Amino acid sequence: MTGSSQVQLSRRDLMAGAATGAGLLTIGAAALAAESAEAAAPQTDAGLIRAIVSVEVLVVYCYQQVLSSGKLTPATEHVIRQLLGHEHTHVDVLSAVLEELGQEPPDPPTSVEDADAELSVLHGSARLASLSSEEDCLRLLEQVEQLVQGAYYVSMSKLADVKLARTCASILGVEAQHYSALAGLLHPGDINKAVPSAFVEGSA
Amino acid sequence: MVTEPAEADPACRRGLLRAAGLSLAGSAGLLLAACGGSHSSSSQASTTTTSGPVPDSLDAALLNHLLDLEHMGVAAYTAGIPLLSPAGRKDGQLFLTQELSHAGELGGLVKQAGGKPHKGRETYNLGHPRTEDDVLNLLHRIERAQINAYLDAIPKVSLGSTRAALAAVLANDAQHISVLRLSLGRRPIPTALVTGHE
Repeated sequence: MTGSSQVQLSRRDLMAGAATGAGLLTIGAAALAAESAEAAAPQTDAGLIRAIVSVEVLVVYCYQQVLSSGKLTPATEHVIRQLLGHEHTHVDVLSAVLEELGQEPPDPPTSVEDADAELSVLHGSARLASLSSEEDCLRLLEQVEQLVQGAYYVSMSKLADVKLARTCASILGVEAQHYSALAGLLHPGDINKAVPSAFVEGSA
Repeated sequence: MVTEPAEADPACRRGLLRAAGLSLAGSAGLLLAACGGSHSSSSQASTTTTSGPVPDSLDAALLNHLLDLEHMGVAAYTAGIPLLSPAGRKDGQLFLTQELSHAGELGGLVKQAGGKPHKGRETYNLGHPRTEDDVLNLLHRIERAQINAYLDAIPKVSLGSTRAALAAVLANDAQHISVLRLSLGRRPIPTALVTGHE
């Protein structure tokens, strides 16, 4: 096994944990534990935040790929750039937290193929490799926003540091706003699509 | 194995609350007149006896404060919707329904924390909004106050499951305020983290 494949395995395990909460996080951490003693306790705040950052860097990668696809109108591109800026901030904020907790932030995906494989692990159906229109792009971003919402929501009940939980709630709020903005672009004037539920729990 | 009280069949409870919210929305026009009585005192809150982790006795008071704000939101949407444009009314009706769902959720959480859920007041001092912008600004202020209150409460409640429930509501209120800001001609998502000050 190469070094890079070890990293990839870790990323996917982490994201599987982020997708489904405690159960698969344990599986992910077990895989990590063979390589890293620091991952032996999956329900630590560090483990939870690392799983979230794994999803956030995938989200950033997806936004970057969408922006470079050439499929967006200038008006949509303007909005997407703003949302990407927020996602960068989320990665920065939580990576700083991770470093304070003694862990390195996870690496981003290295290719479209890897990112699509990670989306699959997270039970997302959209694929970067099959973007052929602005609508495809917006639907994919809607989906990744729901995935990252799920990662935050699942972690809310598990984080021991309540101030960290507050930070995650603040970010969850913005991810929900992102979803509304994307749905607004996809379905102009349809408020039921933009704000579909009284409870934002994502798709984890 | 012990479980947190709030973990008990949340999907079932949430489904019931959502259904209650939808049916309440149909009679929203009657709500202000129908909701009477005074607030129950937070001192009435008490903890329940369970075999698992129990909510702190302060939880009921914190949750009732959030419920008070949701009641105010319901009152403001109910009073303000007639002053909105047709598109604004559609948004307002949806948000009113969702605020009612939030109130139902919080009422359930208060009960789980051993408290008695506050009822809405008979009247609220909502000022004298006359135009659509007046109403939108009023709703913006109330949604912002709610977000502030949720962010304040999340680190204080004792159960993780309650924190998650509050975050799910907060995020929906964040969507509300984003749409309201857009209607007011402001940047809909001005910051990367919701702070309750924007």
